[in-house]
Amino acid sequence: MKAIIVEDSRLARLELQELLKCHPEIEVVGEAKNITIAQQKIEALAPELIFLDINMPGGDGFELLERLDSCPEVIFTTAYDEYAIKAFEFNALDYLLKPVNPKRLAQALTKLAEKQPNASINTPNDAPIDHKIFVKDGERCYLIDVDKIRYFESSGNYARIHFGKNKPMLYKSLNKIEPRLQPKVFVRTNRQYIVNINYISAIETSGISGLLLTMDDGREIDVSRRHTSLFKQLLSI
Amino acid sequence: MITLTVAPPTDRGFWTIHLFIWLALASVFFAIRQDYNSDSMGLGLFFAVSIVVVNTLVCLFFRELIHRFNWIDARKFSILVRVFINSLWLGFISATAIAALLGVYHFVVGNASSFVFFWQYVYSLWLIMAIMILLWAVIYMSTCYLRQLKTLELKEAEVALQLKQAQLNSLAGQLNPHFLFNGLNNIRSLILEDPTRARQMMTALADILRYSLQSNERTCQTLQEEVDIVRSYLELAAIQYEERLVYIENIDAQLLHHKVPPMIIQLMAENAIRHGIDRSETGGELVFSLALDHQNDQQNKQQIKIEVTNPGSLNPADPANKSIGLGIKNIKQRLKLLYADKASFSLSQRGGIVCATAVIPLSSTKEKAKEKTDESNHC
Repeated sequence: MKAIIVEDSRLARLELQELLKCHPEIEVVGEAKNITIAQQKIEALAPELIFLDINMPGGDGFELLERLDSCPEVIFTTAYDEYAIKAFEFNALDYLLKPVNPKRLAQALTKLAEKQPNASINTPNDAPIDHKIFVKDGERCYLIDVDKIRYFESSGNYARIHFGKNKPMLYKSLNKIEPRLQPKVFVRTNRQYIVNINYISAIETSGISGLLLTMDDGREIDVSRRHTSLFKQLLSI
Repeated sequence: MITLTVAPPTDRGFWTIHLFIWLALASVFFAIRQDYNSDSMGLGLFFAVSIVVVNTLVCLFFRELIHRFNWIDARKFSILVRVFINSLWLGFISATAIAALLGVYHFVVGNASSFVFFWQYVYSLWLIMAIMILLWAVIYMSTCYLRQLKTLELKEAEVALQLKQAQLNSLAGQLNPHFLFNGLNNIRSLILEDPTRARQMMTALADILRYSLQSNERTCQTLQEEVDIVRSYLELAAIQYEERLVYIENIDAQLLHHKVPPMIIQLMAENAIRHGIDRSETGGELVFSLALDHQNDQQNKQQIKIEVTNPGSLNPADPANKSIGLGIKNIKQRLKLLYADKASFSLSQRGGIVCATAVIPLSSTKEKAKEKTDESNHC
């Protein structure tokens, strides 16, 4: 598993490298001392895991996640910031307190390894893979598994992500989001929505050639004429 | 004592007590006179209403006097005398007004003969009205006085609470956990790279810990001790920030035996690191200077000027500056508690440099003696 260490203190990076020597399955492919370098390296090296310090000059760890189009697995490392991590709605990520206890590191990596196989089944290799999307909506942070998302709803220049019981706002437009998603799972139905076909509970014809989708949360979404043929092709109906 | 120039607006409590007093008097009058059959029912009622209305007007006027001349403290003899004299003439006014009203009543009803006894009426009412007005005044003044006491007490409680809060803040502010745990983590790493330096750092961290734990117990120590701790602190910071932290020292060594309150310079250095070096990707110079303050150099009032500068800005819109308050507040509060107005603390910005300046008076012989007793108690 390719990993990258993002951490402003050189000694702290060295320390983590040393601790990871006991875990040969983790290959540290890069290090970054601030989030600008980190973003470049993550986009170039496509690691599957980031060890991410929260408190850094020139932008904190959360800001890095916001800048990334797609988020690999994240393990936060912090000296004393539990409150910041608790801002997360989901326990989708782990954190380590510095100095890192080797046992805790081992636990975190085991947890990650258990999660890994499922992810690869759900995401076929031929598609652009988005494991997670990081969203910071006001005070709350979400790290969302993309395949748990029901649909994206356009709201001005931004998009509302509907998943589980939540609908946080992502500060990107649907047009920006669409190319990042797997085309076989996420489909543009009209100007307003991108839906996850796994969460459609009913499809009815409407009008001459249109379709009306009912999502599993009860939301009814029109498929505009322009998108209908593509949609039918995809579902082979 | 609070001085009120104008009477405050009346409230429910005032009217309850006021009406209780005068309605009681009016009903007693009414009952007695009905019992002796001296008045007709109509006259009796008119009389009772007159007592209440006239005395309400008189008392509102008296109330205004009480507040304008600040006769609240009924325990003072001089005030009591003044209130007594005023009750006398107000009683006379009240009695005259009531008698006049009764006269008008008799005139309207057609009993004009009763009008002859006008002054007799006035004299018979005067004493009772004066006594009642005095009673009213004493009750009114007492309630006002009690209220003032209560607000004073509340204020005192608030001040005490603020002091506690300040103490708690200083406890919390004294050791930044972020610094502590990052330091430990760095030392752990340094053991691999440079064991000798790692051992030194461990000692430095131990010194800082001990110093900050003990600083709650003492009020002062020498500048030398404080400077040593600041140096240890910056050495530890240097292994975290490496090339980002450049430390420059300008110390007048002759001052080092003077005494200062603990953790003031230390907190200034911590602030400089937190807001200047930690937030900046490039870091910069942290300059610590210690000199005699020649600006207000009077013969027996020498002051030490402590300055810590760091790169950064004081712009309040900068999100990094949101947390600036606590450390600064802590320093200011402690200086104020220890030196009142003789010490000062200020933050200023010149270009991209933020400068924290503390000016502390050199301890005089008297204070030194006091410190010695403090030392024997605590250090």
